[in-house]
Amino acid sequence: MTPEIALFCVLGAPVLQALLVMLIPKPPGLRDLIHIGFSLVALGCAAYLMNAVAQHETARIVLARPLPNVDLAFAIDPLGALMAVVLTGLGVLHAVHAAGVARAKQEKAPARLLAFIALAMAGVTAVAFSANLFSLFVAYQALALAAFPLVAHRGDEEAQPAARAFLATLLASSIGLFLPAMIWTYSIAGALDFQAGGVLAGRVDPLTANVLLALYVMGIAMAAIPPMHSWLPASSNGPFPALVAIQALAVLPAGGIGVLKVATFVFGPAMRDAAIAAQVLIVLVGVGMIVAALIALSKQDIRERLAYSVMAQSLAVVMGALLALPAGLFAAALQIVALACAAATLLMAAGTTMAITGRSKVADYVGLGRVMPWTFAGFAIASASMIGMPPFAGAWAKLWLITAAAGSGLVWAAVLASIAAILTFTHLGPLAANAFAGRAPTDAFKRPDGASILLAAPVILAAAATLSLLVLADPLAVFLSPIWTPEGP
Amino acid sequence: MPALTLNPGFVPIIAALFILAMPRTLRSPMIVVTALAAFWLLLDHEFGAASAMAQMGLPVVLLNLDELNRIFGIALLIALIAIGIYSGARRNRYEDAAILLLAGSAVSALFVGDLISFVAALALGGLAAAWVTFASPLEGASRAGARLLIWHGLEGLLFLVGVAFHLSAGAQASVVGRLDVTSIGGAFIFAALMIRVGAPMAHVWLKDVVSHASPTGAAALSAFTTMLGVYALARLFPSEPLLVWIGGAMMVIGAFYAVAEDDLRRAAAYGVTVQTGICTALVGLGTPLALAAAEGHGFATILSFVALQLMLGAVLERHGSVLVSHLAGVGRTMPLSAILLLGCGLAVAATPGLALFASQSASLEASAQWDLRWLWALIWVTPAVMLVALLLRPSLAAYTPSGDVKPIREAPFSMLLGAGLALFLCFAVGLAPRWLFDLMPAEISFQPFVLDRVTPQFQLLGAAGVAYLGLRMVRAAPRERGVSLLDIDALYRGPLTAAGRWAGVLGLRMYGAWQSWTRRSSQSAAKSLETLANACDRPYGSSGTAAVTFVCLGAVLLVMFLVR
Amino acid sequence: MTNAPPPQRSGATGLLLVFSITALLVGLGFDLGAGSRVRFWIGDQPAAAAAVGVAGVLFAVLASHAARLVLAARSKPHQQESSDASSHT
Repeated sequence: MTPEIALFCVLGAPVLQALLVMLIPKPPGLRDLIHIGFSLVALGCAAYLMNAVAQHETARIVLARPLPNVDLAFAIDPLGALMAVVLTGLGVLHAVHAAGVARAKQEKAPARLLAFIALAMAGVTAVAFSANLFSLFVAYQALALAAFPLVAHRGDEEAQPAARAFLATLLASSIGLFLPAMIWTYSIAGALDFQAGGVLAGRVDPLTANVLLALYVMGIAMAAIPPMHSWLPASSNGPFPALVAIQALAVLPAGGIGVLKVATFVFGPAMRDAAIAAQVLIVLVGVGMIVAALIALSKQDIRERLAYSVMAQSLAVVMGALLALPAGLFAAALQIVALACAAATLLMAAGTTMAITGRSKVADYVGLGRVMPWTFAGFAIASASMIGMPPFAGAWAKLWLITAAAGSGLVWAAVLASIAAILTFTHLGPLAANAFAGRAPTDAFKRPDGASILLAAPVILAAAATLSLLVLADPLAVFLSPIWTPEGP
Repeated sequence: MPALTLNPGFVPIIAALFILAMPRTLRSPMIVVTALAAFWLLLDHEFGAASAMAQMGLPVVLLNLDELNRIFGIALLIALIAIGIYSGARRNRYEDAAILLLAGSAVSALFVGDLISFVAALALGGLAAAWVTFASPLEGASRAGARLLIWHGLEGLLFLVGVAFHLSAGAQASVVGRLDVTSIGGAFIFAALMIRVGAPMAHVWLKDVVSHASPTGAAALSAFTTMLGVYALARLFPSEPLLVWIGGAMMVIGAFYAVAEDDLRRAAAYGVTVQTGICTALVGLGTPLALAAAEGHGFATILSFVALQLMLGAVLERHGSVLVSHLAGVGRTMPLSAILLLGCGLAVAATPGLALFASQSASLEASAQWDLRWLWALIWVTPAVMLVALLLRPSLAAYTPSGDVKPIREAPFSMLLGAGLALFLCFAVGLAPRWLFDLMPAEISFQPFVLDRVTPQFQLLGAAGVAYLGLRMVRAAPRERGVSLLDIDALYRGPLTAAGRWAGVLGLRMYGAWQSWTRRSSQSAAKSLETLANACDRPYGSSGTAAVTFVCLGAVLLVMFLVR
Repeated sequence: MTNAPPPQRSGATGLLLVFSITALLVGLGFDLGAGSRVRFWIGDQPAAAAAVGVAGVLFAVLASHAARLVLAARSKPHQQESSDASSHT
């Protein structure tokens, strides 16, 4: 097993998984087994690749070469390997959970749902491992197209306009903003490869850098930057496994990874030239975080509330990437990891609650923690991580974000991030607290035996993952450090 | 051996996980054994910091032992032993685990050497305190727990922001050392500590949770929460002048409510606020004697008030209520408990021979500065007020004949044993205070048992007793009625929340108007672009999106060519 | 104020009074006789500690009267239902 083979496997296994699941929709046990099994394979390959990166090995596979110096290539680097391991690991938990939800809720066409979830995971893994801007672009489009059927899954009159808005926003922004920026970069630098020192470093004048930064950041609408964020609330009406895939594991993290890769590998030190655009974007992102948290407070449906809450956290990733210090980039990477774990847990817990009790309004969550203790323990832990309460993962990511913001002289950005954290507390904290504080409802369960292990275990395991960052943060810092300290010219 | 560099506070945290699976008879001994193990680890270490590990590029020092935290650690672990013995009287495994977690995180926070671990341990302690409250069987406990989560959540966020700003000023500043209130990071950390220690405006959470917790939980919450704030202030903000004023305000507010409260556990919590105020003011003074006196006073407060809360809890368990207005007849039905309650009242009132007297004398000595004589006077008068609030009122009520004859139903034996142990230790430290003073940082050549100090205290307490009893006899003292007092949290829960709701509704209306305006304008823009695209080039269909795409593409290419 | 009969005298009043008078007399005796006082500011006056104790009691009684007058909650059930920040947001 060489790194190249592992790279092929980690990209190809989900595609194969999708095909097999579509071909073998019944019996449901076999279908779920295939789904979970291939997720484990993907996780194994990603772990192998992470180990390879830690040993300073490199691997690169080229699938096509449309232009000189521009190929559809995938390579392993610390950032991509880390993200792949985290996302495929959560993907295994999500696969187990989706199997449980499909059973409990009698979702229509579950095989198609699982297949497109697998394709979305393939897409985000491809984004993580992309070796240049072109591969990033192709993987991004593929992911958008793979996620579109997830939004449109139910096929009713709510789903269709939502799906159209989803696809339109993502494709329009990427083709209209990202693609021109990519072409412009190619014309400046002659290559699109991601380099540890930044492709544009030293080659670009401030005006161009500013415009390019704006185009790139706005073009990666998957990071939910206002005004390109409308796909996120539009997608919140789908079935819960789809929601988890879209918001927590595939689409939103892909946006964060994309912005982070662009900031690190395309701009690098050239971010200082683009300082004006960076500051304007940070203002936009900071205000967006606060407004998103406020909007989340006003929503009474748990799916909409979580959608806006997750959006606020994703904007923290963008803020970290836009701060030109290594501390900011590290904060953004930590925040992606913490957000993936926490958002996956929250959405899976909400899915479990919906499947078992049929409740999706915030006011109905009062007291449910007493009858579903494990699920809501996971919900509470993940909420604490999203809010940024120590000792959970989100706290350390936020700590580094505020430190980096204050350190780069943008104290107001740190203030905006802190206000957003307090507002996140207001819309998640009482929700989690009341789930345990209220009187237990007597008629909660639709099924007499409560939540099956398939539904509760992934929630708890994903919540446990949010605790891991406390001990893993330093090895991660060492692991990621080659990214912002290039070894040579 | 690597095990010897273990932070003593980790032992109760690990034990908390195991105790969930223990049978009932083993749980109480397990708590005691855990406390003793942590004690052994504590006393086995020498002073100094364990090797710093790197965590995210910052040094993380998991163990930093010196005199300051050793004295608090001993006090907390003794309290844990007493609570452990006491907890054998009831069956509640979740509360046992929560108490161990609370104690463990408190002791860990004492002994870590860097800010990041400190914040993590404090936040864990806040969550454990909420769990202790949730596990209480009393009415209204879960809402009190939810309120505590809000207070501790706010405190945790303030800490996080403060540490972040502090780190951004220089990452080497992560090890615990003196901070500056006027810096942004220092100000946030100071605000967080004000919540933790119970400064005015934020003092309401302690009395809220103590009055709703179970008997065991109330003692744990009283011991393992606010004193950490005093320790942190002594580490991070010694000789900060603000603290003197804040401590003075805490003393006055606490005393005001302690004498008037009907619920004795709540009055005792306000009493803790008073003593914490003394400690805070002494930390603000900052002289070596003042800091040592603050630590000694913290030690004595933890012991004395744990004894008092345990005893009140025992009465609550058997009698059903610790409202002064409902305490009649307890002296007859629970004779031993009533006497122990009297003893605990003596402990809290700084009677000579008990621990709090030794530290009280040291505090008086330390604050004897001319420009702070108001503080000195406040510290001097505190025992009289505590005597009235926590000894005379309960004892008079307990020994009031209740009319009907009831059989003797004494409190459970474990409860009496635990509370008795704590009270005995108060006596032990009080009669041999040299042991306590030897633990303190500075070289204190202080003799509390000098005639000049003992007889004025007798005079003070005696005069207070005579005066109060005299006022009682002429019916000038207020009658004990079942009254519940409003504190500032009535403002937080009532008008402030309503104002917040009104602002929220207003915001929603504005947001809705904004959304519909943007939808209308974007629709009209899309329509006009659509007609433009149709007019320009029919085969490309009627989707506005395509037009926008192509226009963008063209514009960027144009700009590119021009700028090039 | 209700028209209930005055509360019964507590059984401990006598004992507590005896102890208090004893402590007071011991303290006053040493103070006025041997001059053992707290040597600072007003503490240096004879019988200062007794005065401070009485002052403390006066504060306590006045405070509890004032608190019960001004700060008594209107009625217990009403306060239970008052909404706090953690409900239904």
